[in-house]
Amino acid sequence: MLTRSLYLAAGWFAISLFATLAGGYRLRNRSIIVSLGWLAIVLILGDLWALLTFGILREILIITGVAFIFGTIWIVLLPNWNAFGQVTWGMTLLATLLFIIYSFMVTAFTPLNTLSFVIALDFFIIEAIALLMALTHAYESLDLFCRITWRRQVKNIQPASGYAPMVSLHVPAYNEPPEVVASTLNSLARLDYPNYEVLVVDNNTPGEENWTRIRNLCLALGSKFRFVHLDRWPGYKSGALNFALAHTAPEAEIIGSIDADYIVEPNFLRELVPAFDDPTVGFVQAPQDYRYDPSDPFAESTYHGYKYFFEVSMPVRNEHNAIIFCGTMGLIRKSALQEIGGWDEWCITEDAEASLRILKLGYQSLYIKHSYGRGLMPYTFEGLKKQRFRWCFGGIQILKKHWSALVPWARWLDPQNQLTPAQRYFYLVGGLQWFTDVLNLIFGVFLTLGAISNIFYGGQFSIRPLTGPLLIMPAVFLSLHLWRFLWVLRQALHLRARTALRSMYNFFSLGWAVTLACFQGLIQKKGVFLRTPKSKSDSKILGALRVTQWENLIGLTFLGSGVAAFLIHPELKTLWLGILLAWQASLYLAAPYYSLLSIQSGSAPTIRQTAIDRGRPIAENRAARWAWASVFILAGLAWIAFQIPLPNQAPSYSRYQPPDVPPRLLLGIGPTLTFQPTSGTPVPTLSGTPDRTVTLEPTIGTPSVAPTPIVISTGSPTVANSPTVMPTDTPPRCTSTPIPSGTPSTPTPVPAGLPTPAC
Amino acid sequence: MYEKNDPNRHVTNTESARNIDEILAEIDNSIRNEAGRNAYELSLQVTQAAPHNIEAWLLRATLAPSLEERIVCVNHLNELGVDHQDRHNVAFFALKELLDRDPFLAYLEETDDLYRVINGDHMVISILKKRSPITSPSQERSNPLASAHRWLMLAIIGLTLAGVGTLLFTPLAALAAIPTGLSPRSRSERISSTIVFILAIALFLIGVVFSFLFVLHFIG
Repeated sequence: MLTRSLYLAAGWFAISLFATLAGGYRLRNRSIIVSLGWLAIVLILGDLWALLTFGILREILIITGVAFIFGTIWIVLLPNWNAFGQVTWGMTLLATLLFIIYSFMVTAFTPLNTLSFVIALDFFIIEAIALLMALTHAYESLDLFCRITWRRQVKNIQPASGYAPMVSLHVPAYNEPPEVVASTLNSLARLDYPNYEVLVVDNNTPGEENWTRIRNLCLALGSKFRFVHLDRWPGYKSGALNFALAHTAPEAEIIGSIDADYIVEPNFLRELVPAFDDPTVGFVQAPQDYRYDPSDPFAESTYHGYKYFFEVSMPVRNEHNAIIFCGTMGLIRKSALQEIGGWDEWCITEDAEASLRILKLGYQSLYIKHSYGRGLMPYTFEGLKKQRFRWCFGGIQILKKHWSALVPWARWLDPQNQLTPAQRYFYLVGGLQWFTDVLNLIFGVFLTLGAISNIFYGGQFSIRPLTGPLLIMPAVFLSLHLWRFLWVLRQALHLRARTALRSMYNFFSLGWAVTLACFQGLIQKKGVFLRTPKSKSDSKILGALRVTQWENLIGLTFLGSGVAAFLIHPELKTLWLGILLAWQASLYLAAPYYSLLSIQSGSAPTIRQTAIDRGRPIAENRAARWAWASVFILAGLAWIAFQIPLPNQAPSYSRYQPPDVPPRLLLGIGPTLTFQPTSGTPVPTLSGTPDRTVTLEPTIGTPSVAPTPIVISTGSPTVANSPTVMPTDTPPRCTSTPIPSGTPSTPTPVPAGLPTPAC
Repeated sequence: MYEKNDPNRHVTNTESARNIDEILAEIDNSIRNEAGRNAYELSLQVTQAAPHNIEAWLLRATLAPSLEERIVCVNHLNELGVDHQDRHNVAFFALKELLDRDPFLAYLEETDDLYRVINGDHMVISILKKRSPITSPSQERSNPLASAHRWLMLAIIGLTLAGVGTLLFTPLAALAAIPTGLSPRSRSERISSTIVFILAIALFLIGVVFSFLFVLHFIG
């Protein structure tokens, strides 16, 4: 029942998601009748599919009842969403949970040798975490597009007459090109707000002549502009900003931090400051926007990659008063900043960290989705990679420092902690989501081990049990979630399909940098920055490829093993494995593509790479060694696991393994379903016949296809070469290694194809 | 008018205190009568007589003819460590004037309240931070449950060894939490230790399930 329930739930998930993305998100009415009606329609559509293909009426009725109750609960819990969003979320969650349960049951009760079981269990844990992470992304997308009522969305703040508190704008600068800073300062001089000062804090820029030019600029711009050069100043940017806070005009009530490369619109302060008329508002953030040449594909994709956060994540977080203060283009109440102790010099993303502490004090935050200024983006892939490393490293630092304030029971531990459950959720998930790229790499490694086992052992071994759902469902989840992500990019950012795809890949191409940052963030106590490998050659192309040498190596390994597995054993399962590995490889090989693209464009207006190097340098080559050591350990374990024979006879626990449903049944192809009532409790059991007919045989006992303990799998993702079905009362036999490929000694209809991933 | 935080105040006799108050009043009169020079001379006297008197230093900082002396006064005020808006204003304008002249400051050291810096003329300057002290993660290590948390984290990682590691580490986490639970210093510690205990039990149960499956696979 579990297997069929899982397939059915996946069907509901797919139907509801298709309907939502196809236009359901536009529905702007809220009615519980409509929601329940739509839920019923989705369930009926799924049921019809199941009835016509693999389903069993009684089971369908039971799971439909459960799904209806589950869906209704979410309809009640999400009153501000439209019917499509509510049902899609309910069905996504249901399908995911059922898959996790199914995956556990298969992992736990498939006959495996001990080491294989341990690895399979680890894989299950990783898979479950990845699916839960995917859920958080799905929730965010649905919240943005299916929300009807936005309680905290602010387009224009109406200022109270005469409210114009003094604002102190802090411009930290380190080794900045004077012409870039000049543009920023000139734009700040044009602000149409009556009461502000600009404090330029140059920290540690070597060479007096470099910072004197900026000082002269300040002198030329008048008394509102002040300049200070700090020498041997600790704390990097946060240290400079903390000094600026100490030297802020006493009458200033609001602080703004502006990066030295931003050109700010004149109405920036006039339109944002009124938000502080409400004394509960601690900080306000506007989107960070960038200047770029739309004809430059690297810049364009990078731009949209950045924009995703401000167009999708921030509006959703704002609705829950859980936005992140991003520094530039944000304003913060001075008293709140002083109350929390200023910027944290320990954290390299001090702005985000400060926002968490301010929210912890019970202040409100506000996001205003209107661009008031544009800055410069890293113009090389190396710069982008370092920046993403820093962001991720900072995110992990925040998680490490504040995890106890974010757990569900945080309020019991600290009554002063004013964070709401939603704020805790968004900050916790925001930190954990960085690990998605780590999981992605691990999946890739598992797939590669699968390919290697195929190459050397002809696919006879598997660490992970291979069943239809484990083959199909990850593909379903992967494709649906990817489609949703691409769709969100297109809709939220109004992009053409090609641009959206390029932006998505730009996003994914930084996965390796994020993975390294996650590991470093966990083990390093203080901030570090990534030092990428440098080429000794003068060739720009070699230099660009050298910067992404690890991504190249990983991508080519994935791709090479996938292609080799298919070429050596050309069959459907290795084709599927090859496709999956090609997909994984594409994520990493996107890095050299963008690196080359960035040197092609050559439109770098200025050099601004050094500003993002904060903390102790850490060489990428050194950081990567840990990852490679882990891979080799895993590979060694897998090799040992392959050497240990499986049990000769099916163990008794294998009876708890969920029955399989041949994948072709899902399309109504091949096997037909018939009932052959016999004596005893009519519990139907699937069984196959040599002519690929599946018969539902009521038997006494466990309703199942003969348990498929065949971990040592071969064949295609369809019914295997000899699809004879073992009677359910006959203990299934396991094969001992090695078994020639394609001739499984068991007559079980093993949907032997490829799991995702399999070894 | 001002909060006086003079540690020697209790030993100052009433008479001298009255004298200082009188001098301060005389300085005010001199300022009102635009007798700046006289006011400054008096402020010098009073800061020498009462080196911990905030008001005296504030007046001297206002009346000092040179920027360098104003900076010295500000340093004194900052070192006295009394929070007062007038002090912030005096310190701000003195530093502003100094930086307008030469914007160079080099870091020397800092405390929770102050930066100590040196300018281009090698003058040491104290600058008030004007913010609450921040707790760094290293300072937060005094958490008595830190070891319990560490065991708990290892117990979670132990799940990857088919729960065997969890079976090993959860009892250690529970044991580490018990002393704090029995004699908590605060309500927060009591709740925290209880939660660690509950989590340890929950993890242990998961570990039991995983390990049971492991044994099943082991014996085949």
